[in-house]
Amino acid sequence: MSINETIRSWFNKKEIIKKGGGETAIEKQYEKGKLTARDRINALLDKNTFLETDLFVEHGAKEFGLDKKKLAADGVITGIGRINNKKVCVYAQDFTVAGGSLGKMHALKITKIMDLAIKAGVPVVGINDSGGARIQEGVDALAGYGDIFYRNTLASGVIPQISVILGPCAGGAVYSPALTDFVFMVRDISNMFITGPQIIKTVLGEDISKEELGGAETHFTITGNAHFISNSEQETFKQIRKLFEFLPSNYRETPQTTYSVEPNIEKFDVTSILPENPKKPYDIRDIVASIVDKSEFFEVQSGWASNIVVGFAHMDGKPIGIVANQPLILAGVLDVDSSDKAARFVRFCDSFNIPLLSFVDMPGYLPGIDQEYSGVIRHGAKLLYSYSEATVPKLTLIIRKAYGGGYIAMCSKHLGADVVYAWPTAEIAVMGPEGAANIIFRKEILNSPNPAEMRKIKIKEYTEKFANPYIAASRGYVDAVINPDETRKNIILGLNFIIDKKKSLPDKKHGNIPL
Amino acid sequence: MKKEKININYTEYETYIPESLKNRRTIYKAVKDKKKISTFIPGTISSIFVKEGDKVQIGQKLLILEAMKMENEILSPVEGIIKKIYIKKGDTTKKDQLQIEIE
Repeated sequence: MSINETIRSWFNKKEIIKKGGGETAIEKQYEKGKLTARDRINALLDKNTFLETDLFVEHGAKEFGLDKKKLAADGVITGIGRINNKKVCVYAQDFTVAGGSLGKMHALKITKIMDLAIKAGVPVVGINDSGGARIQEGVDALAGYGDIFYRNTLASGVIPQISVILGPCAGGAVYSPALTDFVFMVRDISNMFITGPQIIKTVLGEDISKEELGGAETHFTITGNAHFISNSEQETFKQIRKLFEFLPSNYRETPQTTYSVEPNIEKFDVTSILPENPKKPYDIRDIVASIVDKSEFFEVQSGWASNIVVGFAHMDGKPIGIVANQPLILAGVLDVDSSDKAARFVRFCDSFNIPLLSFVDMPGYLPGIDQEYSGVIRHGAKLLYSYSEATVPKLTLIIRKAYGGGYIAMCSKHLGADVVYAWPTAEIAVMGPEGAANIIFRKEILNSPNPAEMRKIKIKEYTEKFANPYIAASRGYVDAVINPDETRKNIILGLNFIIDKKKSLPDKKHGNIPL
Repeated sequence: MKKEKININYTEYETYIPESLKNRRTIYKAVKDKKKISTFIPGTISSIFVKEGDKVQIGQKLLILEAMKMENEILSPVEGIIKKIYIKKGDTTKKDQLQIEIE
């Protein structure tokens, strides 16, 4: 063969494999409203940046007729590319090839690209669309999953890991996304569950649809497994590209800074957001928007445990992580789910050098049998643990209520906050005036000829004395009581002052966070 | 959604309570009435060992519930007399369905 012929033969070979499962299978994929694995990679990455690896990998399975069957690229496309000009490793399972089933070589391709990502210190994005283990390959398929989970764990905290669910992801396969930092799902396309509706029906006699059991909406609002939801694959890729604006490539880097842009104060005026009555709700995201660059807040897990709000924003051009109590939902209380949500976000930010800004307005922990039995002690402890452990710059702004255990948990000075600001409207106390008066003045109220009147007097007395920021400020627990109008200026000042903070934890293997 | 009130440590706050939270299954186990035997898991009743009016001891076998490929022995948590049996052999039962009442 001449060199030209050799090259032509290589080209033909490549083009055949690139057709994946063939035209009929691709047609079927489109009919389901899904893109192909190649479409997806092209939509996600910057134009013409994709370099494919391991295109010619083939399985070596012999049983159940697999020896006579060729599977294009063994059902998964892997390679390197760029997102917003930042390097990234990527893989996409190809549902048109044997249902995207995972066999030994399929898994090897994934672990190879993950190993490269860890070595190169670049994020990895995994697009999941697979029927599950390739049963014909038996225990080799299981070994493949195990190898992936092992790398997910090793890579955790080294590089950001992103999972995109664009099809079924069932059984053991769900644990790779579960081990990664962010999970993206699309309505009517994505499914995740350990046991599917059919098994549940046979074994337990309970009827439930795929979408209801493990669809995007379910994981976004009920289980908290999905961090982002959208209506189309294209929208999901936009969300991922947006998320990349806030992430460094690995734990050694700090996230990229950009130009500082003033917030849109015509739309968000700090002082007009807070209601006169401290028992009335408002949307904490309006306060966030009134302070951060461009008034742009990129919220994470917005559908689940909404009594706490977490997400990314820029402050003076620097990416920061925001954790804020949300008085609009459940008065902003801390509970099992909101503690889990905030704790995991704090740990992500700490892993990747993203400074933390916390907004405090919460009356305490949610009371109730349901919460106690769900382990609010164990779960609530996670928030204390992650804030204490975080060595990134930590800034806290107390807006209104900071009562009891919640005051401590919400990145107080005591957990190592570098800068604690309070508005003059802050109420830092062991509990609200009503509760405190009932306990402290119980006898006086009981013995009074007019207990209701007496209670009111005592509540007023307590409010004037304790429901303010000055007692905490007098002890040095609050660094400065600030003018709400100057919040942005002061936060930027504090952030820039502490940005190069160096802090390390006592020598240890690793801590033991209450899980 | 409409605004509702929530009471935290004697203080009422105005706020929104998400439906998903209201619909959440509360945990009955430790607070439920011990004299009402309910299914803890959906399954099929494969045998019943008692009849109405029988005297039962703590730990006495009441029935067998086949679920999750296992034969689960349901034992009496209290001493008393069987007041009413709501199921018969071969019935499939839902989760938390009342089976036997003891007095």
